[in-house]
Formats: sequence, structure tokens, C-alpha cells
Amino acid sequence: MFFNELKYFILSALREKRMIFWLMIFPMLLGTLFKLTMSDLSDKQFKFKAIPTAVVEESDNSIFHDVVKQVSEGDDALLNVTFTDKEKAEKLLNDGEVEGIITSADTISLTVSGSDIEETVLKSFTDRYLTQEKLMKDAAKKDPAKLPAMIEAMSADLDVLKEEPVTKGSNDRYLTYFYNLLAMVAACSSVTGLSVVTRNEADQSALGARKCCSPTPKLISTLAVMLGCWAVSAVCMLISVTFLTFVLKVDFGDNVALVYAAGILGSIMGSSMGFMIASLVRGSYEKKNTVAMIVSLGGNFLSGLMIADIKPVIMEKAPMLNTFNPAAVICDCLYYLNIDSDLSRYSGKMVQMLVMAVAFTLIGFVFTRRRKYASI
Amino acid sequence: MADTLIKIDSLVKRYGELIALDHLALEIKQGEVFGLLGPNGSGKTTTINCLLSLLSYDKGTIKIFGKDMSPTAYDIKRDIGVIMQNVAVYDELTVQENIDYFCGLYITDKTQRGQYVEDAIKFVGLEDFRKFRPKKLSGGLLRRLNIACGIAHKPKLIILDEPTVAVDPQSRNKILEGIEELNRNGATIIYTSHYMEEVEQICTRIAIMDKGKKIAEGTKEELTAMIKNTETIKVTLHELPDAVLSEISALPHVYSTDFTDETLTVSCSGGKHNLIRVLEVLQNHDMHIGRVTTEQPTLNDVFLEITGKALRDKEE
Repeated sequence: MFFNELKYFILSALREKRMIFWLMIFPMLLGTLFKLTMSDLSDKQFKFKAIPTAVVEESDNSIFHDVVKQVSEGDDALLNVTFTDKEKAEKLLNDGEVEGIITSADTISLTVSGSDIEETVLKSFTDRYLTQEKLMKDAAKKDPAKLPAMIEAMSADLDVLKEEPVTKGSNDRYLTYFYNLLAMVAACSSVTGLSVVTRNEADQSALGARKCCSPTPKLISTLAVMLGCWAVSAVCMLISVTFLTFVLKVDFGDNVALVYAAGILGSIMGSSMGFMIASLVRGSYEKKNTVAMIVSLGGNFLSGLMIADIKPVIMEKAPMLNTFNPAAVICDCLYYLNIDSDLSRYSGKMVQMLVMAVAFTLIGFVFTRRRKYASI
Repeated sequence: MADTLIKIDSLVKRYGELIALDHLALEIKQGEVFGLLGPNGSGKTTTINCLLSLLSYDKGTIKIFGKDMSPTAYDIKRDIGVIMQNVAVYDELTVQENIDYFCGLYITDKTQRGQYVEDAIKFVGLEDFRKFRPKKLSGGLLRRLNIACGIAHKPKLIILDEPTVAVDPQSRNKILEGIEELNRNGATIIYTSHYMEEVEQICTRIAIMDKGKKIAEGTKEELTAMIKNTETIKVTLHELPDAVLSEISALPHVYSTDFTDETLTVSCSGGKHNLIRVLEVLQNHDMHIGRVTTEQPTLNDVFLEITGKALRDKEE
């Protein structure tokens, strides 16, 4: 009886178009949309090319010359320098061939034609050079042998784009949207959890009434459908993580296996939440479904699916809400997995998800244990 | 005398102030096709739901196969097949999968279940539709699938709650023939309907319900014998003088006459040769007689006489 119930639940759930759309197709579409939008943003904001710059040397400043050469070399060069005279430099600037002109005369001056990020970087470069130039000149007078090393150190200091990894994981700031996407898949698994009640309760559907007339004990039927819900949700999550990781090439960090584990546990928690909601909310399937969607998508909103900056606000204003919001728990779990060098915080969130899943399931069982109905 | 299969005593079910079942008592024997007849809202489905322990009730006892019925009486449920008023099948499963699933709630042996599923498919004539999903089936075929899901496990007691609602006449006949065949094969049937023709056609014993009460019970003949009317004579005439109408009203066994829209209606209670006497009076007065019909009382007449209202609205 148990396996008959389990087999046909999984079969019917995997054929249910609405469920497949929300738990498989929609996350793929949204993930693809995120990827297209965010890879464009990432390219614009974070992958700087060396800034084309004209340098006009009207005086013999060897320190400046060496520093400029230093920051113009290598794969991660800050500047793409053209040494030229003033007239040609101005023509290059007017033609848009360079972003600015740095003139080395009695002092160092900068000429730019706009105020984009490239111009800001050039301004920052020249300002910091001027700050450190005097110190270097004094030091050079005392110990000229140390000058090359000092120039190199100064170049490194001026290379404002050089990355300093603080974690072993991915630094993509937009990764939080993909965490939220997985949290959404998990939270939307609550739709599957509704089936536990609607398919088994005589006052919910004709199917439920027919099943209640059969000699299959309700506990067995409920357990089988619950297990089926977990299995279907887990499969949907596996597909979503696989699609994001291997098709869209979203960088979830080094340990993808643990991303799968967090996702699957999250989806189990989500479907258990649906079971609990369906057992607590009295009324039609539509009513239960509405409440489940509000809770799921509301949780996703508060954890930053639609607006990434909302989560810090919730953490500050209502930390308890963040602690027990299932979507936020999944996001945090994935975030900790990515940024932490050890798994302690990740493990803590995994345990929390497990506890919440068990609690949701138990509450669901308690509120569906009645066997006769006052009305059908 | 056949064994009593179901015994319901003094069953009371209330919905707040409304009394849905009012001290209902029924006894159904093994091998019967027992009809529960009554208008919508009379308490038929509530009776079935209480019988199946789906609904809680305020008072009374229900015994099936000699045992108290309860939600956990799995040994009783094993031998009951239920066909609900609303079609209860999975849209995502095929015809064969649906029958196999519901049969699997009763039969654990896979080989036996396979055979039972085949038998059920053949019984309802869905051999050509076994791979179809329910949404691809017509209303009549869907009802047949619904029945197959309820009887595939070969139950001893089959409860059908208005199984022919919104079904075309051809499918309805097929369903009724199937029910009679199930009964011939040994199953006891409880059949609820507000279609008196169906109940008259297949039921061996009938209980008529109204407002949660059983108002009459017996065979069709026993029920029709309960009422005053035994024969209704209708004669089409161009005109009928009051004197002639009075003469007909004075005939023996005639208790009611009416002449409306060129039709004379004469209601008789008992007696023989009532039609001959009426026609003799008309011929004696040289009346031009048109169409003549005579009708035996129906269950609707029984219901009408007992409650003062018809079983069904005219549009039904």
C-alpha cells in the first residue's frame, strides 16, 4: 500500500504541468534572466581594462616615469600609456582615444574630458602619487639603492584594481540573487506539500474522500505522499542546481556537492512547510495555496530575491524574522558555504533547516490526525 | 431470509440548527439493490458519508457486516466499494494507472491486482482507452472510469452515490446494466439517486427520503400500494359539459376529476374496469374522443402524495 501510494504520487506529480513549471521551468527561466542581466553588469562594473592614458613629460621626473611604466605592465595593468607631446595628447583626448592626459612638469597634473569611473581612477592615481612622491624623494636621498623596490611598492599601492581575495569562494556580489533563486525553488516546494493534505483529506477533495473509504491507514497514506513530496522537491532542486552550475556556469564556490545538499534539505523544508500550512489553514485548496504562495514568496522577498538590499534592513530591524524565514535560512546557508573557510556556520544552518523540516512535518501530522469530519 | 448487511439505527446528524438526518433507521439485506430516493438535499449523501464513517454524527449506530463501523474499521472497508457523486480520479494518471492505483489501496498482491484491473477495464468497456488520461475521455466514459476505480477490488458491498448525474442516456443505460450485473455476481448495492426511473428500474427495495427522514420504504409495488391513487386516466376531448364531468366524478373508485386544456384527467383509487366505465359515459353523451392513456402510479406519485411536492423540478 505504501509503495503503491508513493509510486503513483511521484508519477502524477512529475506529470503535473503546474508543478513542473514552478519548480523546474520557472527557476531555469529566471536563472537565465539573472545570468544575462548580471553578467552584463559584472562586465561593466568589475572587469576594467587598462585605462588608455596619454602622458606628457615636460620635465625629467624619473620616479614618475618608472611608476607609470610599472602600472602599465602585466595582465592586470592599470594604465595603457602613450608617451607623447602636449599637442598630440590633446588630439588623442578629443578623439576619445585616451581617457585623460597626465602631465609631468613641475608637478603632476591631470586633464580629463568626462567624469566616468575611468577618469575617477586616474584622479585617484595622480592624487595618491602626489601624496607619496615627497616621501619617496626623501627616502631616495638617504638610500638610493632602495629606490627600485620603493617604486615597485608604490606601484602596487597605486594599483587600485588589484584583487585581494578574502575567501576561498566566489566574490561575485550578484551570487546572492542565485542563492535566492534556489531558496525560491525550495520555498515553492511548499506547493507539493499541500498535496499531502488535499489528496488525503475527505473534506478537501473527492479523491481524499475515496481514499478515506479505503482500508489503507491514513498514517501510511500520509507518510507515503509526504515522502513523495520530498522526493519530487529534491529532484526539482537537483535539476535547478545542476542547471545553474553547469549550464549557466554560476560560480557557487569550490564545494558544489554541499550546495546540492543545502538545496535538497531546503526543498524538504519547503515541502514540509507546505504540509503544515495546508493542515493549519482551513478551507479550500485555493485558500491553502494562496497562503502558501504568500508565505513562500514573501519569505523570498524578505531574503532579497527581488531587492538584494532588503535583507540587511531586515537583519537590522527584525533579526528574528531573518532567523526563522525559511528562504533566508537557505540563502544564509549557501552564503556561509561560499565565504567561510570552515563549515561551522554552514553546518549550523543545515541543522536549523533539518529541525524546521521536522517541526513543520510534526505540526502537519498533529493537525491532520482527525479521522471524521463535521462536514464534507 | 437473507442476512442483514447494514443496520442503521436512529441516526441523527446536525449542521448547527439544521437537522440533516433525523433518527434515520435502515436495514439492508445481503444481495439487495437498495435504492435511496429523494430530492436534492433530502439527506441521501449525508447518509452515505455517515455510513462510510467520513462524517461524524450526533447520535445513532451503524453496523456493517455485523460490526460497528468506524474510520479504522479496515476489515470492513476492505469489502466496500464506493463510487462518489463527484468523479474522483487522478488527471495525471492514465485509465489503467488510475484503476491500478485505487485497486492497490485494497489489494496488495501485484499479480491478483493486475487481473482485477483487467477485469474492471473490461467490465466498464474501457479496453480501447486504457492509455488515455481522464481529460481525454467523454463525460460518460469518465463516469465509467470512476465506477471501475470503485469496483476493481471486487467488493461485497458497493455504494453508488448518484453515479449517473450529467451522463448521456446511452452511458446511463450502460451504467445501470453494469450495476445489475454486479448484483447478479453477488454484490449488494446501495444506490442513491433523485432519478425515480433509475431507482424503479434497478432497485429491489427502496427507501424514500425527505428532509433527513425516511418517509417510506419497501418494494416499488409496496410503495405504490401505500397511496390512494392506483390509476390515472387521461382522455383528449374538444369539449366536456359540466354535467358529463359530474357524471364521471360520480363513478365508483373515482376520487378526482379535472378538465383542462382539452384533457380530461380522472384519478382512481382501486377497482377494476375504471377506463371502460369512463369511456362508456363519454360515448353515451356522443363526445368525440381523442387520445386515451392510462398510467400506473410512479414513485413520484408516492412522493407527491406523501410530501405534497414533486421529487424533481421540471427542468431536471
